[in-house]
Amino acid sequence: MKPFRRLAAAIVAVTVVATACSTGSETTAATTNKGVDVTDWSGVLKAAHGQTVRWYAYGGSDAINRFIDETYGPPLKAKYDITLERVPVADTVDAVNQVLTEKKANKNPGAVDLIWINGENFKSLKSADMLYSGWAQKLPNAKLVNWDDPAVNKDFGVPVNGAESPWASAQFQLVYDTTRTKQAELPRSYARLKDWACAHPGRFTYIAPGPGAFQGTRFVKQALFELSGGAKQWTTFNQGRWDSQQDKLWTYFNELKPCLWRNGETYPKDESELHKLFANNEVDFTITQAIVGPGSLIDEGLVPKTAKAFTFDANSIGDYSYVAIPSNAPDHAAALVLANLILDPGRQALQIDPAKGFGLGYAIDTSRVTDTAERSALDLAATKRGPAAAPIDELNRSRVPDAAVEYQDLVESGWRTHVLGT
Amino acid sequence: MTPSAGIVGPAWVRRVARSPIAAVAPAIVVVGLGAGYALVEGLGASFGIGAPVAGVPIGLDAYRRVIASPTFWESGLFSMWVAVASTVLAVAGGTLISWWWISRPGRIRRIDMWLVHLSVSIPHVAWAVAFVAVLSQSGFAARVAAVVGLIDRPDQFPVLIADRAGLGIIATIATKELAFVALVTLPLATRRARDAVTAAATLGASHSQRLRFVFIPTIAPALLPAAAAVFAFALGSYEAPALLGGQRPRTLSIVALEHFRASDLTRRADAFAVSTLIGAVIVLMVALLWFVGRRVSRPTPRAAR
Repeated sequence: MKPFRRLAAAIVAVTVVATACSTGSETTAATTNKGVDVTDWSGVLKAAHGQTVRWYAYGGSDAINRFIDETYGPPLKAKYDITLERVPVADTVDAVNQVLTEKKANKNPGAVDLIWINGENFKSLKSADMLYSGWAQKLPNAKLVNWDDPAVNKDFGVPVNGAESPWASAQFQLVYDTTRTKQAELPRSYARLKDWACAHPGRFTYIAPGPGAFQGTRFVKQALFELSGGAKQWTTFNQGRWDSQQDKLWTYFNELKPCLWRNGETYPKDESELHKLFANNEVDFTITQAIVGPGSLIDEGLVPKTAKAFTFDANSIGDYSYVAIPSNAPDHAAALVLANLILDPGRQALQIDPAKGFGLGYAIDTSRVTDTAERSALDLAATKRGPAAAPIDELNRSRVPDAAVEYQDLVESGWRTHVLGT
Repeated sequence: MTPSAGIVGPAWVRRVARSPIAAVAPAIVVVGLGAGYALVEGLGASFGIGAPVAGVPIGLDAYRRVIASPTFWESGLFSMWVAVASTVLAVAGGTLISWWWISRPGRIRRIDMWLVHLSVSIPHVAWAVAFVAVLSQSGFAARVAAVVGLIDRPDQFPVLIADRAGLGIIATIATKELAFVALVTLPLATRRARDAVTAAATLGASHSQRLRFVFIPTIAPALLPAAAAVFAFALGSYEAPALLGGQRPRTLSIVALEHFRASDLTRRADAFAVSTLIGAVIVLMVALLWFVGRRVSRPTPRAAR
């Protein structure tokens, strides 16, 4: 063992020397701020004039890509002389890793101005100290956001601290095909879901929880809420509570397992795989986070035209997604202008329109909109979510906040060990 | 040989310039700069150097964590199985194609070459997507089988995608790489090889004897490096396992990327530790093949220089 240790130590030493030259100082990239003062909005607009905002956003949906280009590109150019450059990423974590690599290479300015982000990716960049913070509540349109709501001021339980500004709200829902399943027969709780699945063996599955598959993790967390008697207790982290409750969770999923598609031996790894199984009539449910339900999925031809969203009676996790600005963003000012434009009531009213292809809910609290024309446009848009959407009272009644971020890894690794691994 | 035309200078310069090393030097420099830099950075990151968050100790912590994890060993065995099986199938398939080429009268047809080149030039990810489209339970093969009545419903089609044995992954890599193997053996599957095979046939050797004792030894010098390349590729490949693999077991490449994408930045070194270990296994395996290759295809003693 000794010679091995010595060899290992030698390799470590040589690599330390070799990388020391290339790594350089690691903290300087995080501190710069270009001197843009958010409270001086006319100064921000002036600085943003002629800039380009490189917006890194999940690019897997053509409908969302088109929505971004058409909804934000033209007004940015016309009103502020800002060019919108949407950079599609397969997964938001790719944008996160881009920024982290820039930090390591001490690259400032970097390549990213704005990221569509939430949850664990926000936590990553925040813990790496690579986010410009303290700005979100100072945007002119921030007064339209209910920053007192813990669902807004905390993201996965992590305090936002003005390091990201909300864009849209979403809520976990299931999707069924009205030609295959009658509305009256829909399971509306995890207990009933298990009965349904075992009465229809092989016709249900869910996304495997894990990094990059938050929908799967969310599906398991909601079961935890139901089995433990409510969501609220999970908004703060308590190891003891987890230790005492987790067995119930694994028992539930192991009882469900033999009734699942392929007997629970394998699971779809993301939303698009689950949509495909649903569209191919291999399973009877898929999921969506969109407030308009599967409307834009139908338009893209990913699910049947007769698909419709529904929620369980309780414990359906609702949350917000945000935009954040890396601390080494080349065009800070333009990014601020875009983050503010996103909260504009006119733009918000567009994002809920199923025909526009985005279909997520409002980030603003419509009761704070004082302009009566804007207010009624928002209220009208909310009533026109299309035939595929779940009823609004159903969504409101069942909505609960997500669990504290610490549970994320516990749920994911626990599921792998106790459910997948058995 | 006369001194090479165009190369002037002292004797050692001419010697170096004529050596095979000089011929591959430009490639080595270009690849070496890119890959070498990545290797050093990756190795450094596996020791916790340059971690994205403060407070990550420098040392072998990531290796300890990775090696202590049962998932790592399960994934390691699975990766090894996928790589070995793909390599064996690709080498066998490539050899048979090559054998088929020289066993036929006439020259190698242009269409054959075109097919092989086409197969080599298709990106791996496209090949893997094609396999998913064809082999999944909702895929083309399942539907055709259901329509012609081989099975009653498409979901009775055998599970070849996301299966526990990794059959879909192996099939994808092996079919893609057998064309590569055939192409690499081509320079040795020449008329001389055909003459030797014909001579063996004249002397009464059976088909299998001709293949085993004449043809395979002839192309062995190309076969072993090809096998090493296929193995190295298969062990580290990401596309096929990502598209055709299931949730369990998963290959090491998938595990490494998952570590790299996890939100806990203090554990990012684990991703690089897994990658480094994949690289170490590849180096060991290539060394082994090189050693075997020297023993198997040791050339006849050279005539005195």
